[in-house]
Amino acid sequence: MTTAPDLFPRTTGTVYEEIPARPAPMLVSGPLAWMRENLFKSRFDTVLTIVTTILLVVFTLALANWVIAQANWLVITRNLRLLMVGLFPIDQVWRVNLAVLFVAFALGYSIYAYIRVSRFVQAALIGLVLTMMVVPAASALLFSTPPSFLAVGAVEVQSGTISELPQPRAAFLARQGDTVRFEIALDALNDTDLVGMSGFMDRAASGVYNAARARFRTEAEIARLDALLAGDTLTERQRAAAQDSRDGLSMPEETTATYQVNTESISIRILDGATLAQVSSAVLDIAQARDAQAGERTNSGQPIEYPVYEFVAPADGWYVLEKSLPEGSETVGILDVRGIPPILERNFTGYNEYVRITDDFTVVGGRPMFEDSQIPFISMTDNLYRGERSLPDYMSLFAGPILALLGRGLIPFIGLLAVGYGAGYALVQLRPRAPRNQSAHAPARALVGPLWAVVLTLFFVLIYGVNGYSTLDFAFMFASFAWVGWMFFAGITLNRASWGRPLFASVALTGIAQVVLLHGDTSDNVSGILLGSLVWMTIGLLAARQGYINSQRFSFRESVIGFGVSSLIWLALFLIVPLLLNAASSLGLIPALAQENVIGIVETRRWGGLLLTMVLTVVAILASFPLGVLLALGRRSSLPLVRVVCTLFIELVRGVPLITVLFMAQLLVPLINPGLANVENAIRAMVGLTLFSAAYLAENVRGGLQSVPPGQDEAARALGMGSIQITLFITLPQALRAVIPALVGQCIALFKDTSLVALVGLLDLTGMAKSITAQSEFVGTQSETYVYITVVYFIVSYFMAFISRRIEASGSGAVRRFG
Amino acid sequence: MSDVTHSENTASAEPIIICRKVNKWFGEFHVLRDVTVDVMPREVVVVIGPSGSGKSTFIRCINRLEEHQEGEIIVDNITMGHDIRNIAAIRREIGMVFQQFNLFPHLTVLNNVMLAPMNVRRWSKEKAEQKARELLDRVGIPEQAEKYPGQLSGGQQQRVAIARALAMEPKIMLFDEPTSALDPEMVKEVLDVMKEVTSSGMTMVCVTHEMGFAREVADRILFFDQGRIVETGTPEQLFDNPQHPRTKLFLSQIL
Ligand SMILES: Nc1ncnc2c1ncn2[C@@H]1O[C@H](COP(=O)(O)OP(=O)(O)OP(=O)(O)O)[C@@H](O)[C@H]1O
Ligand SMILES: [Mg+2]
Repeated sequence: MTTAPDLFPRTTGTVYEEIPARPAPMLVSGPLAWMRENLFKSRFDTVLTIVTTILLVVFTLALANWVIAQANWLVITRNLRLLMVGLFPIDQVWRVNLAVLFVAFALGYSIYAYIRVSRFVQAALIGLVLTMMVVPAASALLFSTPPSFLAVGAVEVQSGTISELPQPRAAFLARQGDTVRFEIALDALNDTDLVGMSGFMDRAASGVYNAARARFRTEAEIARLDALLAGDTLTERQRAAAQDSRDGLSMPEETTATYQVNTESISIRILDGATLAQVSSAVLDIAQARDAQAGERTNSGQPIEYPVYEFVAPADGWYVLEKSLPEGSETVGILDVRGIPPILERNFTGYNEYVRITDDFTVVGGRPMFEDSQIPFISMTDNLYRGERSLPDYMSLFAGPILALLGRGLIPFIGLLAVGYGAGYALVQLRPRAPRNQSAHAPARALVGPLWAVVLTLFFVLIYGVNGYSTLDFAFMFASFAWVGWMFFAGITLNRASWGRPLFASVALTGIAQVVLLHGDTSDNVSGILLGSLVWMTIGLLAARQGYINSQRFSFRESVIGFGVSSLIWLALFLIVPLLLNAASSLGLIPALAQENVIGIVETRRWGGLLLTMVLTVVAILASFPLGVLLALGRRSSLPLVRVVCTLFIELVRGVPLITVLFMAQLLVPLINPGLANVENAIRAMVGLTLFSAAYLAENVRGGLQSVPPGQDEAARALGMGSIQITLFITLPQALRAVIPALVGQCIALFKDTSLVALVGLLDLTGMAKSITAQSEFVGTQSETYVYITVVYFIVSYFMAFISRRIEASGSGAVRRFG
Repeated sequence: MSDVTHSENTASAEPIIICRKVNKWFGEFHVLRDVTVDVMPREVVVVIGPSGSGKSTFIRCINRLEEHQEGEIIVDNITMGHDIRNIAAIRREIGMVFQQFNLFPHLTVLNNVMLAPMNVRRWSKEKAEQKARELLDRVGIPEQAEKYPGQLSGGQQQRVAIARALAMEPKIMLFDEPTSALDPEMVKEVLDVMKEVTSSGMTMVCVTHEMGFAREVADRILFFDQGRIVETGTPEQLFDNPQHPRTKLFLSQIL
């Protein structure tokens, strides 16, 4: 068959070759290519990159320098409890800790239900825990505490307007085997050295240091004025003024010369803290020290050694350092002491506790006395840190102790997060019934709501407290809850097995017996018992009914496990715990059970710090949510009066600053009704915040309602649904889903706005920071305190934002619009 | 054949929908003008007409999504008035399917169908779920029950909407251009379901531009123009032998 060549060859299915899929071509890659592509693409990019880098580096360096070399973080270490829980009674702080741990558990569980936790976040958390465990230990091991300079002598040192007399005695804590090293501070032989000294100084040594500094400052001022006067840039009047100032200044004598610093030998005695018996003693010879410094040699040619005295503590506990100069000496000596870290004192009702700042070495009470007065100890406030700090100093003094302190709170928190997460996992493993096209974790979601309801209730009960309940009462109460669980599973078996009936009957009878036992002694009359039985039996029967109805959902194995677990809890709480408690109290280990009041009420004015901030936020969010939704619906209502009132309220509140609302809640409310004057300050702030937040929430929700297409309402009406049903099932759910990001944003804003309550006298995080820095002890530590609370605010808000972003990403909150 | 059905109905029963001289205005605009029509039980009425002629408004007046101002609408012996209880009672008996589906996007397909029977008819969850699964089976998408509307195609969504309306076990179904928002290849699946519904003996009022469908299933066609019923008749009469010049013009434009 001969044909002319086909000019337009038709491609049919069989003609063209199969083209196999190939991997995409490699792009030019590597760090250099990346940098060229992303940082230096154009000249403008290059300039921007460089400028940003410079700014970043300068800022970071300045900050790091301040954090490490200058800031006094002791204000945080000393006040951490105040900043976290405020004036919450110390012996009750465990309640806050417990409540927070419950919250951590619920958080962990919810995170499992809704959020994929990336490897990165897991690693970050583990890293954080490790840091908080390792760094304090490591810095205690690796870096020695900077020296303490202690003044010795009988001469008063002038420091500004006050004069300080060196303390003859100072108490300190040591562990068995700790080595304390004493030498004469040869760094202090002239003024220049004195000013360069870096470490702790007691007040008298600090006075010497200050005097030297003042002398240098005067010297510099004189030089400046002399230079001015020598020049011809001044007007007549300026010249006269400068001359006046110059005449007023005279060069002070050298400080070391004034006080004859370190011209005499120093005697040291170490006494036992309890008995004041001498443990050891030494004399540090000044001549030898000077010779050693000058590099002199002994007759045999050996270099002369510094006179150093090392004391090794024979046992744990208090010691007293007694230091003196020869009798009648009119000089000041300065000791360089290594191995005595300053102590933090913690006051509890009933006893005091002393903690070394570099480690957790804690001693309860036992502070040494001398002639009926307490011997001053080497404490943080009396011993000021002077001079520029090095990184090792920073690590051993601040980073280590602060991380250790934080770790004590955060490690259990993170642990409980993990436990909650694990609980979610266990639950899903137990009942792996995810509906199709849903995440495998979805079955865990059903319990998130109830869990939070329980946890938040527990939280507020724990924090606020109830009067008149002993441990025993609580054990019985929880036992009753376990009994409700028991009834639930008995209800299941009732529907399942022939022996269900006797089982159910005996469980129910146990319930009655329990009530009679519990209330038999407390309620004087029969009606109390009857009422109690009635209440518990109703709850129990309801639970049993639920079990009966839902029995098909549980496998036999599950119901047996559930029954077993609730029985165990019941037994433990109803029999074992009370037995143990009774035994303990009869042995005198714990106070008599009948009078004890485990969680007595803690008035809100004792709440403070982060605790108060969080409580205000949570209460305001929870309370403003229903209020805001109602206001939003009211504003769209067809009833003119409702609409006008809601609109008026919303616009009024939105039209004034939050601080005004708070002041109104504080000041105006009592005017409306004098009875309200007794309402506690914190509660009034909660009301103010709630009203404020509700108005904004209402506007957000209204936006959401407007975004629901009218067709939704029509479709629901066409189905015969009433307007309340439509709102509840159709419009509101869609509106709320649409505004979740805005609502979360509002929660975060509210969290930050709570700081304004500081202005109406509440000691929330900000208020506490304000009041701490107002104490004379912590004057000049505003920067440290506010930096710290900034970090706390940031971490909490970031955590909230993180969670909400992940929830949105998981699709649970997203609006499912038509494809 | 449809003729026969029609006459049978006329003979045997009262009309289920009665509209007498219904008038409606949107502000100054007179949308419905003296609309008078009776619909018999089991009758399938198709409404056609140019855009803006008031078809949707008319059909929405039947379940009072729009209020008419003059005239009388009686559905299933209940007069449409301001009495809310009457309206609720009537709406329970009328299912409606919209051009834009209007499914509830936050609920699964199953819950979309179950919601109204549970809350309006107060059915138990089990009964509602059984009915819903039955209907999803009937409209041909039993496997989509757990999905959300956003995950379905347009045709599937409209079939869910039909199931949702049927779940209330209505006596009357209203369709307002149910296929107009669909891609051509999905139109057939929805029309098939609608045909199946008519064959089960449902009273139906349907606005549509699908003339083939109208010719096949309608007992009667109403031609609307400028708020008036201009012409009415069996599909054969109206399509093959239109009387009114307006009808002729309209049919010549779309056929
Ligand atoms: N809510 C309203 N307010 C004012 N005018 C309206 C309203 N709804 C409809 N109209 C007007 O009433 C007239 C009839 O509208 P209708 O929706 O009933 O027409 P239709 O026949 O369904 O048209 P189409 O085939 O385009 O759907 C139109 O001119 C329309 O602009
Ligand atoms: Mg229309």
